[in-house]
Order: sequence, then C-alpha cells, then structure tokens
Amino acid sequence: MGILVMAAGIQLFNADGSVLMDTTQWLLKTGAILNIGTVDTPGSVNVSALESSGLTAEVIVSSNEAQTAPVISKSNGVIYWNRTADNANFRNNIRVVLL
Amino acid sequence: MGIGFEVYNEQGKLQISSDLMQYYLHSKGTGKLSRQNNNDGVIDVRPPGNKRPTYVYGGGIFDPSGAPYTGPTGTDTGFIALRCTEPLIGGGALTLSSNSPDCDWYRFEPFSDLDPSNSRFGLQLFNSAGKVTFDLGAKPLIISAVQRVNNLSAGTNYTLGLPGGRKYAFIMNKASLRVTKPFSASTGGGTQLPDLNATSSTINITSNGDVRIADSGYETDYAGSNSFDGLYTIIDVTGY
Repeated sequence: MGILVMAAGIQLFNADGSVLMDTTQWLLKTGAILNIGTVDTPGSVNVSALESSGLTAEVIVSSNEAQTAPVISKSNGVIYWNRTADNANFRNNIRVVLL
Repeated sequence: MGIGFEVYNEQGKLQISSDLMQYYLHSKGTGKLSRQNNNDGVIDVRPPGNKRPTYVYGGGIFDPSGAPYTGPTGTDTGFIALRCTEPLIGGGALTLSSNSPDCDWYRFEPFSDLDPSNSRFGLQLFNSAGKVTFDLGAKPLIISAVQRVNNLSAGTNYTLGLPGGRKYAFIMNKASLRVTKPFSASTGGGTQLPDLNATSSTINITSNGDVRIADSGYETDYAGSNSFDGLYTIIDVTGY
C-alpha cells in the first residue's frame, strides 16, 4: 500500500490494497426509524439537526402492508407524511436516511 | 459531536460517523427483474434454500399465485442495490429508464447486525450504545452520487456521468419518492394496485428478505398521480 495524495478526509483500502473508498464518496446512514403504525394520523419529523452534517435527510418507507404507501413530503427541514387511501389495518414503518 | 469519530469528504459531506448507523454488504446474486401485474417489477433475493414462496410487488405482499401474504413486517430493513443490463447502466454513465432486464442485486443490512468479534482488519466503530456502526471487516454501502429527478413520468430518462473504472449499482427506493399529486381513490381500484410508490422506479426489502420493485410507466394508469420527484442513489460496488 502506497501513500496517495488526497484532498481531504480518509481513504479506505481493501485487503488486497486497492482503494475501497475515496474522498469523494460517502456512506448511507440511518437518521431515525419511526414506527408510524397504520398511518391513520398524519405526522411529521424535524430533520434540521440531521442535515447539519451536509447530508440530506430523506424518508424510506421501510415496510408497509397497505397497497398504498404514505404520502411523504418535505418542507423547511420537516418531513411530513399523510394517511393513505387504503391504509386501514395495515402497518407502516418509515426510516429517515441521510444521503 | 461530543465524542466519537467523524470523517468528512471533500464536498463537506459527513462520510463516516461512529454515531450514525451505516450499512454493509449482506449478500448478492443475480436475477430476472420480471414484470408482474400492472408493470410492477419483482426480483427474488432470498438466500438459497429458503423455499417460502413469497414475492412482493405493488405495495402488498403476495405469493406467486397472487394471494395476499400476511407475514411479519420489520422495522429496520435493509436495502437492495441493482445493477441491471442495458439501458439502465452502461459504461461510465447511468441511465434510468422503464426497462426490466436481468440484474445483479446487492443486499445491504445495518452494521449492528454484525458480530464485532468476527472483524478481520481495519477500522471498527461503535456508537454510545455499544452497537457496531461501521466495520472494515465487511464491505460498506458506499454512495457515489445521488441523482434528483423532477417531474418524472413514463418515458422520461435521466443520465448521470460517473467516474470510470468503477462498478456501480443503484438504489431506487420509496424513500426517494416525492409525490407531487395526491392519489385518487376513485381510480385504479379493483384488482389493480394503487400504490403511489409504484408510480416510480422503486425498490424496497422487508424483514423477510422479500423485495419489491416497481418501475416507471405505471403512473399513467392513474389520474392525479402522473408524475413525481425523487432521488436515486448510486452505489459503488467495485470488488463486491
């Protein structure tokens, strides 16, 4: 493994010495996991603090049994979700990830 | 952060953090991204030997006969990245389209699932709760680019230039969906699957290891939901 010139940050190497990650890339991160149940009630989560690291917070509906997933929007650092057309008796979970 | 370990990349983005959960390569394979039911796409990523006949598409969970499946639903499920044949990925550029070709799939799960004693070399990070958040003993989910799409509708393509000499896959998940118009319950009823998330090129995985993917083109079936905004995450899988 040689010493490489890099602009900033860290470089990670595989076991064979090849570069695994360089200074331009980053890693997917979980910001929060929220169980929003049957999403019969609209809700929101403030992600301003999460985004202070230069990353962008987005929502993933990590599981849903309804045919229609929650309607999700984002405005001024707050992520909102709304109930869906056919969500009665279905469970949903959402996850805030940092991209 | 008060204590711990952080690295920022040259764009000022937080690259690694001991406080935040990151993801590692759990398994990989190849499969046919097949079309089922109103252009939804399905790919099977279950490990060999798992015979449970469940597939996921269109917002619900179904077995191959189309009957609903009512298995448990997880909370912290992983991600699937795909590398499909043309024209989804070609050369150093990525093109998002509505085709449904053969795909290599890469399943990623949170590092907290790993036994830290199995780590072989390199850097290992823990959060304040003692959970492993990063470990070079496993291959991490590395993001090379995020492509934002706007007003995407059937036939719309986005092309993104990427550095050469690397191997890329992509995550198209429901997380990225920004619904711009509300779903109308009066449309797409009956046996159709009126899933707003199915109106984009989307993918997710349940705690059971089932995956669902829906590709673009579906949105034209439903008035009031004929376009969307979203994000596509480009994953570096070189050497994976």
